[in-house]
Amino acid sequence: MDETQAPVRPVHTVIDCGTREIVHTPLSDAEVAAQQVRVKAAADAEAAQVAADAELRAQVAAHPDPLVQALAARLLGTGPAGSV
Amino acid sequence: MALFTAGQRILAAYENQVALIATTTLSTSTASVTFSSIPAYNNLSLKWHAAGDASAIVGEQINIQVNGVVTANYVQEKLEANTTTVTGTLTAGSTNAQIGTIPGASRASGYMGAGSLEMPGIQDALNHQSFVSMATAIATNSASFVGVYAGMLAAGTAPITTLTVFPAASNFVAGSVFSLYGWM
Repeated sequence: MDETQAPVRPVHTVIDCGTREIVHTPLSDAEVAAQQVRVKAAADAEAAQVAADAELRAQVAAHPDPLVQALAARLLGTGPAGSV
Repeated sequence: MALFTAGQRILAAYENQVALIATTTLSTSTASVTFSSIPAYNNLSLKWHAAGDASAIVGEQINIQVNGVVTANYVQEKLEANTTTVTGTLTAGSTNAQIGTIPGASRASGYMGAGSLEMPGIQDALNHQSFVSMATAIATNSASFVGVYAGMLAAGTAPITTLTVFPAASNFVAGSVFSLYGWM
């Protein structure tokens, strides 16, 4: 049941499991605009999380107690920002 | 005394087979994939191999809505590891349920997420629909997500006949694969 149609803009895809018919509906202008807003918000949130993580790691790295540094390295690792 | 006649044995074996209901490999950027007119199986399983196209994003949530319900009646719990950080989150009153995380546009070339959603007992007409999934989103060699996601549509008791899956912010990239299976 592979698709063969390739519209220019993103689509909604509906697969009728009874008839096996596949219908593609291109996103409306409003949907595209809303999607752009969501993507920007998600990117901003991820960037903010990355910055917060970096700040925390910098603070830990500068901590004078080696035990704190060792514990933080074990717990924090080198992980990236959270999912959005 | 035999438990089954020959024909009944064949029928019993047949009814316990997993059937491919429908599958699609996306050929273009797709905001949502909906399986409609799902036959009346007792168990459904949705499997995916997918990524999102949201720019500057490492991981993006992948959500579902069932039977066209878009009201804030979904309850979900997730246990997710973000590289080395593990968190648990319970959310009630959502308009959809998260079933996993997929890599975003910041993923390494060729890196795709994978997951499986299990929906058992969906012909239960007395209680709400509940489901559980596991998913992974290795976006790069230093950024990844893996988790277990539980969900429920805490409204209505209708069997699941429609299932819509979509990324939280953007679209599934071309090449993403979604397959729906059912069995009795």
